[in-house]
Amino acid sequence: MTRGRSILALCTATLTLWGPPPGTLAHKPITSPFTFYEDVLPITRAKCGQCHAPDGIAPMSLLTPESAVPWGESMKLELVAGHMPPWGSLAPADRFVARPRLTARELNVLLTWAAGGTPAGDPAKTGGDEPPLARWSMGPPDAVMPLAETSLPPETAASTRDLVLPLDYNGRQLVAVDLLPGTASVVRSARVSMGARPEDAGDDRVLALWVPGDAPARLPAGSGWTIPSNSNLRVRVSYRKRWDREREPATDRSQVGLYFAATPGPREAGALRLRAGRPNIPTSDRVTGQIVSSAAVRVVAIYPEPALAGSTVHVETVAGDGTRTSLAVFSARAGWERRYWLVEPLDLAAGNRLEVTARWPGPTAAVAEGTPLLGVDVLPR
Amino acid sequence: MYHPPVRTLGGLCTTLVAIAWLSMGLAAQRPAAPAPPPLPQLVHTCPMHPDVVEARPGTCPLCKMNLVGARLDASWMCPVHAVVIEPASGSCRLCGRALVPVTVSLAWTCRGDVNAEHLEPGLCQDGSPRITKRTLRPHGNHNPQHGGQFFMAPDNWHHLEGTYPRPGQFRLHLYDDYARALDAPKLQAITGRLVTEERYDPATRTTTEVRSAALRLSRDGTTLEAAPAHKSWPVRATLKIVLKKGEPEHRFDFTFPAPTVDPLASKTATGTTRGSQTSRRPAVPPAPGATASTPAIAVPDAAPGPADASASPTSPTPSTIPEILEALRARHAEIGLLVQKGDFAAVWVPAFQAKDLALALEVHLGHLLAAQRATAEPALFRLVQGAWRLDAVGDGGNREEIETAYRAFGDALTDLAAGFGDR
Repeated sequence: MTRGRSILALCTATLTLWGPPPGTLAHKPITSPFTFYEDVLPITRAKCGQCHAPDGIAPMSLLTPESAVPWGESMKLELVAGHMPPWGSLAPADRFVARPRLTARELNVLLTWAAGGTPAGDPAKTGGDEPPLARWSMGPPDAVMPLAETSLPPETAASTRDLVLPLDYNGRQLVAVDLLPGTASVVRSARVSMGARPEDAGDDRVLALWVPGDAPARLPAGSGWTIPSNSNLRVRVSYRKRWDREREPATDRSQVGLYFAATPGPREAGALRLRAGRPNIPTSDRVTGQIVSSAAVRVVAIYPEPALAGSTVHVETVAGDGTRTSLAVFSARAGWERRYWLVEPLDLAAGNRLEVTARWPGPTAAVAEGTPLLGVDVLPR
Repeated sequence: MYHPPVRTLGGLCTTLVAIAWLSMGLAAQRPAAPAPPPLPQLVHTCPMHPDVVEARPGTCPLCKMNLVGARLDASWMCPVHAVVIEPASGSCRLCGRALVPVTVSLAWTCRGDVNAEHLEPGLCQDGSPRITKRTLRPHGNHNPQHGGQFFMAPDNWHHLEGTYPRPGQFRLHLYDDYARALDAPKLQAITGRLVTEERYDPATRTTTEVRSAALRLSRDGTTLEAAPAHKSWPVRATLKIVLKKGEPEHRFDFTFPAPTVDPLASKTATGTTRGSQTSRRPAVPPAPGATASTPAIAVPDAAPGPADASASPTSPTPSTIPEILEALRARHAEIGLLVQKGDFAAVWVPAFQAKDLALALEVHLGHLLAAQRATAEPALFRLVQGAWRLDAVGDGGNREEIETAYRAFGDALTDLAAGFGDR
């Protein structure tokens, strides 16, 4: 393999030297020293295969050359644009728990292969294991709540279902919540929240934001969401069929997994909700929202609301003396709302302000005043 | 968003590289008795979609037709006499002009049955050896044919070449994917204008055209022409064009440092066939007070010598971190100069050189402190991604896209250097 790469690298260099002045060439004299089985598959198994599998939610599998090769150009476009992997940019990167990302070398391998002839290579020389399509990534939950079966008839390509289940665990303290899709190829996202019966208002506590390939995290030790009496678990599941199965009927019965604290901790997790301020003009390229913390809290995670989709989001803390500190900058993608967990909780003094500014590439319809923009998970200090 | 599956010309490039290398390698090791040159690798392509190139037989992913065998090869063609396609560089046997590189499909035929094409050399029925036949492939010729700037449209079918032969005269040559000039009826269906001055309002993020000239069919029906008001050299102008009614408008940013010279019209035939304004540019100093379409990029002071990609160094990859960072800065500056002078199609060369340099830094990430690595690792990723992005947008000729990609590339380099403690 090393020898093969050396030869091909030499080929590239040779053609560069042998060819005309590069300024006259529009097509690139590049080729792929990387093959699917030897170089690409170990990467796609580790970083893409949870979705890009034969029965995954993604539009194509990247686990066989037959299924991946026709999408080579699409792979290149998505990778160069930064759309895949879907986690987007998040700065500062070291402040947040990282999701599996591609390294620079892995990116280069995939792009070189996609742009350079997509050679298959030797199946006997592949590496890595195929990831399971669906699993409890934190291990078996303490309690599993099956959702009602959902049917998607042939004429329905996408749908959103709201499911409500009584949450009969009074006084127990949740530290994490996860979702296990029943049919991985149709479950696109899910939002799991907890509210009081009978009416669940907008102040639901968001327990989980599930998207394919993401993994939940536990709240810090000693903290949790205590389940009040007469609570409901509300689950909003977004379904979308794959393009090659759009006209086929589908059913799903996903499950919600609950993880309880062994012994309830003293700190009750809460959330600060930043909502859109009054818009100045009917259309604008930005929206802002803010909230003042009435108590000293510890920020453990943030999550964007759907209204921010397509924008670049800047979250800042503003101290009493006006000092601004950037908490996060990220791009919010439609359908990929997830929780960003801080590696180390951030202390916020009483009276400090949290501000969110979302900016779109061009003018867009103003976001109505009061629309939720950002959730901030906090613990008492 | 995913796009429909479309194959690239990567396989073609693979073949060309292999052929180039093998031919040179064999030349170096040639025994006393000359061996027959190796055949280009057999690939399979769609009769209707020549861009589809597969390594194995099968069906076209676009139209499901059965793929047919082909051998793709690098050849050299006369810019004037398209019938002259030679296996090696040199001069046209008819006019003496230097040949330009093209991609051909290689086949063998017989004098008595020229319609029969074989994928192997051999003997004809009459016992004579089969004759080599070289046929131009789509996208096989991306050379400017009239001394101008050459771009490929987003539809991957139209190709454009803008020339500016004299002050106030812009000519647009349009070609299909075989670099064949479009005829007058096809040209008449194309609408557009050449914008030589526009203003951008950052407050409203809108651009207003101040000065433009409409495209019209030339008198001889071979080109589209515009007569912009000429101020000074260099001329920077944006072509805004609708190639097919109902389709979106595309923009292509041209830079002409000096009048373009059409090698086909030139009486002297030696060494001018490349003909692009890049290679023929006289030393014309940039005019002060450029138009609104003046490049918005800042080129670092530490620019290396010539900006022409052909002058890119081929020295070994440096091994120490400071050396690599210095080389990266040089490539960054080189890209900046290419962008500034509008030689977008050449940007990929220093961009890919930078990519390879950056990847050489990866082994050093493990030696960094956690905080440094947290900066350097994502910056390294962004730099590699930025190099590929520059490559992707370079052919399109859209200055805004290229400048955006260049700035992102520069930001990544700044962060990378900061992560490695070299500011």
